[in-house]
Amino acid sequence: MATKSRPQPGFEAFERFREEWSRRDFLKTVSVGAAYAAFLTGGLAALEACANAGQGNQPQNLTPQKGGTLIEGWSTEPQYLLPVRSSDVYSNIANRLLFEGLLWRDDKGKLQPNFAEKLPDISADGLTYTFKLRNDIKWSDGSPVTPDDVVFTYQLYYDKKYDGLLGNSRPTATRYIQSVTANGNTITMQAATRYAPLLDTIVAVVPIVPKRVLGEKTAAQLNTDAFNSGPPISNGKFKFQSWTKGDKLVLTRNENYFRGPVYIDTWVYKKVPDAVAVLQQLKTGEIDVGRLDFSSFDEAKAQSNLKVLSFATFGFDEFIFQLDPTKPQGQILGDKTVRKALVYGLDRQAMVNASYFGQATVANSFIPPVSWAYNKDVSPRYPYDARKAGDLLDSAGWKMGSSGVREKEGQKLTLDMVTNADNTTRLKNLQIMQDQWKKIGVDAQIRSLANLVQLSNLLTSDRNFGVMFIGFSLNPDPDQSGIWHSRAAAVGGNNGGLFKNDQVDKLLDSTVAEIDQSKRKAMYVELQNLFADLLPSCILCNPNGIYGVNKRVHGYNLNAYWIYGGGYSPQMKNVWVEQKK
Amino acid sequence: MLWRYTLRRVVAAIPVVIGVTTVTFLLMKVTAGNYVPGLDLNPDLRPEDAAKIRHQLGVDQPLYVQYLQWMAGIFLHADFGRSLRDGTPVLEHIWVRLPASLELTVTAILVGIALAIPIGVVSALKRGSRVDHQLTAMSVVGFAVPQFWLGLMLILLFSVSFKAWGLPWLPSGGRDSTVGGGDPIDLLVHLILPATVLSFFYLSIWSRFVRSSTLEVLSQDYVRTARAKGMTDRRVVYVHALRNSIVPLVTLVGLELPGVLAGGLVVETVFSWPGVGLLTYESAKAYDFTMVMGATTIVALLVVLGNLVADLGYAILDPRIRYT
Repeated sequence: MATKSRPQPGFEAFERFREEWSRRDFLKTVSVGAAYAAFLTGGLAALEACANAGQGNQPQNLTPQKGGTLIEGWSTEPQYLLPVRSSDVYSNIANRLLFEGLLWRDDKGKLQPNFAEKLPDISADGLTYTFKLRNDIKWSDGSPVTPDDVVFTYQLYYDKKYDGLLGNSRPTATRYIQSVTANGNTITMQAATRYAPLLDTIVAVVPIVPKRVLGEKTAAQLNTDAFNSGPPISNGKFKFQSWTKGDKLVLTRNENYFRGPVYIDTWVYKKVPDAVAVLQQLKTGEIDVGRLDFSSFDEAKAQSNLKVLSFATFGFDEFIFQLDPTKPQGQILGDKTVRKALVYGLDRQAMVNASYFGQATVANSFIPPVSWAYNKDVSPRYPYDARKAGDLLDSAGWKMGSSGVREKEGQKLTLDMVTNADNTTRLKNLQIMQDQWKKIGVDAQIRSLANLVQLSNLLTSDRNFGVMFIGFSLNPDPDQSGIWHSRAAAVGGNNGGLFKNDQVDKLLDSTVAEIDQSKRKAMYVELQNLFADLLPSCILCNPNGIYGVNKRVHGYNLNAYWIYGGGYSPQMKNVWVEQKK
Repeated sequence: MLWRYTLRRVVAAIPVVIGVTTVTFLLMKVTAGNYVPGLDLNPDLRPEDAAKIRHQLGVDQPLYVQYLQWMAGIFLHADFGRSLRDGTPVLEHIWVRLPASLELTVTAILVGIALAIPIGVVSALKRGSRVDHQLTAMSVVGFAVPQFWLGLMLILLFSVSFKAWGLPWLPSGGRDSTVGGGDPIDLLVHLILPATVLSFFYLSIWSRFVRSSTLEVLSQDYVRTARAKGMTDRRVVYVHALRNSIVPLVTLVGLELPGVLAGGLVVETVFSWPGVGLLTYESAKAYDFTMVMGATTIVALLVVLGNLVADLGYAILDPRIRYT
């Protein structure tokens, strides 16, 4: 399902572009100003370093303290506090602190019972899931969370009655959930078909909302209901206090939280202009937590008041090959040998060092290494080997021409590479690729689109490109049908290279219908090897998530499963802050 | 015949507003296509799901239908639509953000006027002197330095570095403190940096105009006559000349009226000032189509209104000007 607690992958990518777009700000446009700014920044940074040198570390009191405020700074605002309505991670960061669901995901990615007494019983046919709702869950006003609330919440996601409800969480739930009913505190969920990711991508990320507040409203009313910008009651660690749009969203501790009240009094989501400002405000202490981009890593590390978290995530940056035989580029790249040569011809570790400042891991598989489905022995692999690349191109009939560009039957080996120019990391990657491919006789031209919106239009509908550099954030569940299945090659889908392979389709379909995880893993092992050989795309690397956290904050942990802090981190229960004296 | 003039100007404004909205609409559509937030690059959505969501939002219809519907909403129901991002009405968004924008822009305009007039007059009276040259240099700098750069440098110095040096420091952004803010002192402290950047820009331009118009006025016959009568220089300049020399300033300030909404865009963005400028910028970045259209239309209306107010203002300051 368009996941809830997991970032909406598409949206995450889009948000990443937004952050990067603004980070660059206007600096680029005025080169003189930028150059002078850099000069001045250098000078100020040096002065700062002198000033910091004298400060010693203060002894820390490590007993958790109650009270205080935690301020998270983000460059994008949340939009909807009603979880089903939201389509973006920023909304979810906030609304997940207000509302929780039947299950949650621990730091190893294992599902754990939350509002449910224990993990559900699953019937032998894999179609019926039975939950027991705990009877000590309360709304922030003290009234109990009832099985009716649970049934109602799920209706918002799957029931035809709410078809007009906007937000992209519904389609997957509608497809896979047939019904949810309650009998006493027993909740029975009937799946429409066997769907392995059901718990992970639906149940773990559907937070329970109050029926008595929302039950009478139609889909159209819910789309714009006041609940979206200020829910009157909640059942999570916090309750809503105020939201000044464009500025800050303030939540306060829910004393009726079923695991007991959290330490901090107030949690603030502060809107910060861009990634540059995030770093600045982390330095000044105006915000306590902020997500950083790759280029800020070293500077943040050098700050005495910050600790920097860097961790592997579910997500990859890749370049997709055009395989559509009706396109000239597809005719060149349709030859698997050519694709293999291109990947052998790239020093990917050097790319990660240069473009990601080392904060990424070179990938060998489309499944990230943090996933249970990852095949650590995936083969074939493509270590950097320019000579082999040249040999492969020779064998494919592309002979070195007099101009240094390979030719075949009078046609030059020219590639049309495209990405979004507002993402410097991607642009830098293309420049390195252009340079390295030139050495093996490939003339790759860079075409840059303004932003991710345009790039995704190209990927999903126009599809006129040779090599596209793009990134995806993924769910912890390894299903990637939405990217590689031939179904996604239809207009509007993400399979923009028109990769179609019956064996891959079959494996993708059977793995989501298999409930047994060890059997699924065996299929994914096969699928990863197959993918590595077919090479419809080169998965370049898995970028890290990087955060700066003020040292006065304790217990703030992030990992691949909780990459967004805020409501994504169940550990907010344990977070406490040292208060200013 | 002031009212007829006013009416004519209002009627003439209609094509301007229609033109502005058409261009904005086309630009948005050309750059974004049928963009819907949250759909792109989402591997969980199947192509048919995406198509359905587009249909629900009505963005799968032909361009002209979308445009006409949007226009009809405005003219028939005074409905500027709802933000694509969070579903709240566009006007509500603008209304909520307006006080912040007013606070910043009005402060900057007042400070700008308060400084531009004396600076311009002093420059004119001491034409060619070292003071004049220095003030001229200052305005050139103020006009030439991009606001975002000046803003970033001030943040770097007065927030980040001052804090690191252990000095009293100014907040790097926002309208009040995130925790326990909101009292007048707190608001003022937050206002200092953005208002400085914005007013520096205004006064740099305006002081040049005041300078040149003062010079022009000072060479007029009536000034010579006043001097000949034996009036003190002070009286000649401040009573007789000044009133005429600030006429051009009225136009300029009038033209800044839409700036209350949009002029502070850059400054609001740099300082994270929760005003209409920031809202417009964020919406454009997010391809929030209705939001940008609504804000642009309102700004276009204000430009027309600002011009009109400035023109009418002439008549009050200069009795010779009459409208027909």
